Amino acid sequence: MYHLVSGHTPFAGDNAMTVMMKHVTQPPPEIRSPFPLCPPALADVILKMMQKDPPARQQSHEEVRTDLRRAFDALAGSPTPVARRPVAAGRPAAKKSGVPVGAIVGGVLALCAAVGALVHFAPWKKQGQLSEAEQAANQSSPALQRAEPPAMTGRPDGLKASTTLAAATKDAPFVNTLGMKFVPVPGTKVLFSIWETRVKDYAEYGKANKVDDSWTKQEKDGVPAGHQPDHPVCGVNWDDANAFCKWLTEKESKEGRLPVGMKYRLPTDGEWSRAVGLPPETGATPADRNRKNQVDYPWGLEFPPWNGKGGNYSDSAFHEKFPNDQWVEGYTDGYATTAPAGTFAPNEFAIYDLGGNVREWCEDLFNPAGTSRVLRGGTWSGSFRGYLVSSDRSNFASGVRERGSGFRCVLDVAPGPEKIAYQSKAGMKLDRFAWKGTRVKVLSAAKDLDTKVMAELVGTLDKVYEFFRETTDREPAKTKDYHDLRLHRRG
Amino acid sequence: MTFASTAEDETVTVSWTTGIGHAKIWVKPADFRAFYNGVAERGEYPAVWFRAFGINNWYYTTQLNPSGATPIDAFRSGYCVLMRSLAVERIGIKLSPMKGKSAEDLRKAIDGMLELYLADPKLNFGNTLAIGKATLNPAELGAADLFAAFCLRLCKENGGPAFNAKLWQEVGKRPEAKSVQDGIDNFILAASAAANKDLSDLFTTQWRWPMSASAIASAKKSWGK
Repeated sequence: MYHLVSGHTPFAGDNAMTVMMKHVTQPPPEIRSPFPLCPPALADVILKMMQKDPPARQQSHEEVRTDLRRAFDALAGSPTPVARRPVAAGRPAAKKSGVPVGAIVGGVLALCAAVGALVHFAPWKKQGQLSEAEQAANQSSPALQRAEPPAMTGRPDGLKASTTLAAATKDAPFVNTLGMKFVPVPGTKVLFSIWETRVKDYAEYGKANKVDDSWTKQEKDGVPAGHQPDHPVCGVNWDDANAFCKWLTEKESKEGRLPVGMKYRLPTDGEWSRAVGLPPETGATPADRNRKNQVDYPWGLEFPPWNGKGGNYSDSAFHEKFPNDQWVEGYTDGYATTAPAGTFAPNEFAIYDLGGNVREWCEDLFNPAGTSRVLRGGTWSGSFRGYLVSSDRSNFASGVRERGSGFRCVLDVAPGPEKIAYQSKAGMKLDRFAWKGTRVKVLSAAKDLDTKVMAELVGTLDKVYEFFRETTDREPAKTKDYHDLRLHRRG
Repeated sequence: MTFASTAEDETVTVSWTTGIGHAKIWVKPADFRAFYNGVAERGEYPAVWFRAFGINNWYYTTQLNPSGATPIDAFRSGYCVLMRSLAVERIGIKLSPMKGKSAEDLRKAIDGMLELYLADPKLNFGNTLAIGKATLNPAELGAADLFAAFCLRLCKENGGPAFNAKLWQEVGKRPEAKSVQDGIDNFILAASAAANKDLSDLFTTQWRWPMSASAIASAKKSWGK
């Protein structure tokens, strides 16, 4: 990095041994000596990276990234560090700093972005070592797009509406029969609703179906929550949310408004992370990934967010109504409970309220060995800093209805047939059917299973099946002694 | 419900419900996760799979366990243990430990059960397999394992898995058992047919199984020297 920025190596010598000894014995040189134009903030980051004493250096790539972002802020003269976060209309323009800008600043900015991206994507990891999710993210990571601020200007009501799913963009979202708008999120194969499902959306479902009415009764100490048509619906459980998606899919399919095979559903935990703009996460399960990243918030990197810019959390209005509850001191968004969908600035994909307002049910189990489901994003009553990071996951049993929980739909435009991870010789498919006499049914809980392991497992069971068939010379399903073995996610 | 009748069921708990005409075994997600992890991390397969396979591929109730009589469960459960042992050998896979013993140690214990049985002259079919008991043994194995031990010895002396396949196919050809004795006769005659020799003396004299006079006559007539 020193070399990249200054064009010089930190130590010079006639031979390698001399250079090595300087590395061992001499303090790291100040980069501004050979390169006075290097901004001090960046010089500090580099100097810290070169410290002889390991504890004096950054202790993780996350820390390097954070330092680089701070340096980036200092260069830009803006207290908001990255452009990939929400950019509201009327947001103050970045001030010019006293640091000489121009060509060198542009170069350093580019360098920061490049280094940030390098650190971000751990170049020392070979491609083959990256998880599928990481590789997918690398194809179209929002982090790589941060140099291009979103073109959104104001509420999406004035946006052009796309008439076809394929043509949907953040500037021309797909609009469904309920007026819900959907935009693509890079790195996923779905369109995200730009809003959390609103009361008026859910009310249409309620008119057409006999549904639990908890969603009409949500309040806190007498202050209503989710009662206005354009507020997010709350007090719905995971099953309710899925039922809504199923109803909407069937309704629009029947009306010819949704191509065959496409469907509404809840986002997966991974899709939600993409939508909120998180860098690739590590951890096999949502539980593993929970709060690992303590840097990124839905609104950016700083805490607390700018007044009114971060989203609907427990702000001063909340504090006024509920003085005994914790709140984000000094933060004002203007809403004691829920706020109308789309009140706050959208993110770079033109999606609103991924943080705050209501936490959103996701499709996944929090822990595949358990039964509770993931919820993402903070709530209008959220205040604890650690719970407001984008990597935070709540988890509730699928039947829990509470005032802070709502949901957001995605439109799966290419669900295709059920994914078959392995097809055995004996006709067994991983997801559904198994052998002629023995069925193995692995439902959605098995999504994180390694295909190779399953192939080995199922392949072995196939051999066992063949062994039994050779021995008995029978087809199991034809006998009255037929038994049925299933793997089922609900015991 | 927790299976506890034989060693192979010890490692898991499965819920059990009865359907129309057949039973269903539901494996809980946590159990499946344990199975999966065993394969992924240690290359070990759970014995419960073989229990399920054995039950799913058991076709011999008619020939071995007459309706109306107390069934000899050791036949069916022992079949599962037998098939597990042979399948593991044939396919070359590693089983998860059971009852705190490695699969290899357990197999040795099963083989050893026959020796313990033969060494105790007071033991016979009636006070072991017929009532679901086995001789005392260090591994605390049961009647199913003892029946499997008998079958494994038959296989060893008569051609291995090929004999085993013939044995069960011959069992399937036997007539319906009208009594417990019919079931025992059917098994001995099927074994004789599979081995193509009269095994009545082996079963009755050495192994102390009961055999009807008509079955002994039939065996001698068909395969006697």
